[in-house]
Amino acid sequence: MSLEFRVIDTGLRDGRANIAYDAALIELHSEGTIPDTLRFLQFRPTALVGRHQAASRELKLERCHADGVAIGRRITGGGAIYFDEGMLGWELVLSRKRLLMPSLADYTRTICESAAAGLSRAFGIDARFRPRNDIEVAGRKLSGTGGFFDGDTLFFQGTLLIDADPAAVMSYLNVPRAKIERHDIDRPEARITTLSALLGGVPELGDLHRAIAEGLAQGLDLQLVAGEPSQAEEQRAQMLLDTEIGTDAFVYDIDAPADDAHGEGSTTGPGGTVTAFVRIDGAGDSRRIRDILFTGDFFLTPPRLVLDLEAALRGREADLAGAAVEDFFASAHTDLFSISPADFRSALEMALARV
Amino acid sequence: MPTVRGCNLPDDLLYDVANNIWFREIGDGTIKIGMTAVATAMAGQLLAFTPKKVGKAVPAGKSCATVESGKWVGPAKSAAGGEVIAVNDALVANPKLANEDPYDAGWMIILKPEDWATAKATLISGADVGAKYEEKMAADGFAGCA
Repeated sequence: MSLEFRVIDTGLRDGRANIAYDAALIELHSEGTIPDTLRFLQFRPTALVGRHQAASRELKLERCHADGVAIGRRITGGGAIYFDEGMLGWELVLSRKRLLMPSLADYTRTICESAAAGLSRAFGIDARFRPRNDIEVAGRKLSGTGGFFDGDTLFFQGTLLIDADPAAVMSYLNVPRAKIERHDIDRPEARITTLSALLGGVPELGDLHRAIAEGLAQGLDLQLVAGEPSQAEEQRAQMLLDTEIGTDAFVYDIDAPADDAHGEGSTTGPGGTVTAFVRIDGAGDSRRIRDILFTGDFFLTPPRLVLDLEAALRGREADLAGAAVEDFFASAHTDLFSISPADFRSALEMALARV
Repeated sequence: MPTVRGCNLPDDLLYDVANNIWFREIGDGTIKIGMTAVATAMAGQLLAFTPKKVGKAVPAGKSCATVESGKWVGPAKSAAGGEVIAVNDALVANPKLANEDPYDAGWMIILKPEDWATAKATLISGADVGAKYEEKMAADGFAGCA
């Protein structure tokens, strides 16, 4: 039997106000006073860090301030993102017991696959889920996602890139970049894409809502019912904005000195050079890859393999990363390459040793 | 020690089964709090752990820490209210300790509780926790600890 879900659109808001509304939805759903809900939202220019990230480390704060980009902290996990009117937020708050799945990773996969299928059907694109939490087209990220769990209440949100300049999006984030853009793969648009770039025009907002809603309805067997944001939600969101989410104490609660610490390693062979740039979290034997970028003049088909490899390595324990490179290529369908998996492994391990 | 669906549940602890939290009375009036093996198995490998800061008050039933696994964040809720008097810095530095050793090295915080008697009355002793956990796992569709 289909699960009934309310659909609301809270329109364009400031970043911290949107996050406060997220928290309000979670609290009120946990209290049993609102139904399972699909919410659409849009942001005024805001750079958001993940729940456990240090703002100074993840964002180019001076650039954000200079450009009037607000700073906020999500209550969901994952990495920093930049949001403006060129993106659409979509999110679900739901009862776990009504839609039982074995693990949180299963919710991520099922929700992302459903949203991707809706976008593909509506716009004739080939959007797919890429573990752990992206929706991509031809290897380029179109939507990132993250979640929050509290007892029976699950909250899952995604960011759909509609019309944005990838270089501008990346310019507010402290992510590894090749020092000089020598190769096509060094350009931001090699790793992220937008519906505008894919379609040659910007879809109507209503069509975007319908695409995602119908994808989720079909994939999760939902019966969607149009609704409105409630007074109780607005009041709780305002209270949370005033007392917690909107405060600098919350946004900068976790902080660390700004740094651009990364490791860099290169391997050169007859077929070209591969260079790895890597940033890590943690220390000692708990070091994990926070972000990774490969560049070089190597030849690899299909080219998206490099992007899939980067996605597969994010979050991996540093000690196991070299073996993960070998595992990736062992199961990848590689048509042709000018350098070997061992070259990628060597460049990565060299970079990790130099962080 | 009770084991339910492969999850160890030491019988010398007290449990908040609904929130997958264990409590240990230290003997000096304070209590040590951590996540059960069920919590860490459900969440997957933890990537971040952020406790409330030392000196902060935790209201009963509210979050004393947040954890992150695979882009999912969740609160660790304490049935007991009180003041945080110590946090496990080793767990902050290495969150996977909670997966590897949930009842010892993976502890989260030490709390100086207010009205511990009332909170304690809501908890389940290790000797009785097996049946409660089996019931919860069935309701949650939880397969078990690996």
